[in-house]
Amino acid sequence: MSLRDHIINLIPERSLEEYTTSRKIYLWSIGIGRLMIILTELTAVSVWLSRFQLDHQITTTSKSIEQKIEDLKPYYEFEKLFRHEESKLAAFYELNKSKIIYTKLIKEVSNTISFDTVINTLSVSNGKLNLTTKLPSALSFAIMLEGFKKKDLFESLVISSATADAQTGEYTISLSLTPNENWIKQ
Amino acid sequence: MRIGQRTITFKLKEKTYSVVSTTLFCMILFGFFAIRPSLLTLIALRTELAELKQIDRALTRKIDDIVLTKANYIENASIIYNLEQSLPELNIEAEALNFLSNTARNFNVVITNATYSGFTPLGENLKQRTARLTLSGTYKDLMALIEEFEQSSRVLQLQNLSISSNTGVSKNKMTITADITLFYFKELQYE
Repeated sequence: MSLRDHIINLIPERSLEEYTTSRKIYLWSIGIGRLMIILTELTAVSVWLSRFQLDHQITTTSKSIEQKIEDLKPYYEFEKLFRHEESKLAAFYELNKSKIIYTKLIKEVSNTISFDTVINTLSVSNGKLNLTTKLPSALSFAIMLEGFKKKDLFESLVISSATADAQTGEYTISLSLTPNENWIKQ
Repeated sequence: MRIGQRTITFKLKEKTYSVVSTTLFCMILFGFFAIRPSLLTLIALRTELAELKQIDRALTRKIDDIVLTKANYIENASIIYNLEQSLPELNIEAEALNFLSNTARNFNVVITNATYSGFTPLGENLKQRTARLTLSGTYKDLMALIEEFEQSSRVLQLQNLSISSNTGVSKNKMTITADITLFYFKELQYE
């Protein structure tokens, strides 16, 4: 047989489907299977190696946290005190915000009524002002009401009782007044 | 042309069918038993690290804040003292009586009668008690005293006030009754 008779053929003689099952498995194993195993191993090894770095970082961070917790311990009592003062300050502002002051209103009522009108009783209760006055005439009462209206002192005014003395001509009038918020808020 | 295309497609399918199915099966097998646990471990470690770093940053910020706060606290000690006076704590039992009687004395007003209610809770941190005072003095002094109570830095609320012109104890003097609610803050408990 001469050299000319040797034909080099790089194309497989048969297609894959024409081989036996064992041959097919063998060919697959040394082809795609090998690549898959290499890929899997590479993934597992790279994860295993990166664990060293991650473990190191976790240990360092944990130590740093422990150290900071130790550093914070002396401040624990102060923090508690500070939180206490903080909530006290909040309560202080809240209470002052809802505080009702009456003297400004009482002074304004005294200034509004005319000199001939006498205040018998003046009381403040549950945000309402109760006033009992002795007036020489109905005109004085009208002047008083006009004064209240002009200064916008009250939101509502209820006449609780009104009596007139036939002999002296004096009126005794009891009023229940709901102050305007502007006059009782700080 | 169509027949030729169909033949090529069929042959390709025939050739690759067993290879593709084996490859897919092995990929699923390897992926589930080898790659998945590794990746899950990696994700868990990275999550843990991220959380720890977040805690670390928060603690660093807290240390910075607390050091700065303490310096400010010491600097503003007088304001803190005023706050203590304005909203005292419950351990100062005689505080109410002292405060009210001293203020009344400054305005030439005499407290002829004083009764105190017990402490009642107000919310989580506050307690209150009401003092019913009978005050005697001139109208001017009494109004000045009431105004002082209202403007006082000590947190209180005038609840009821009754002024009557015909209850005066002597000439130019009158008596008023006032219900004043005093507020107290809860005592700080150290462990």
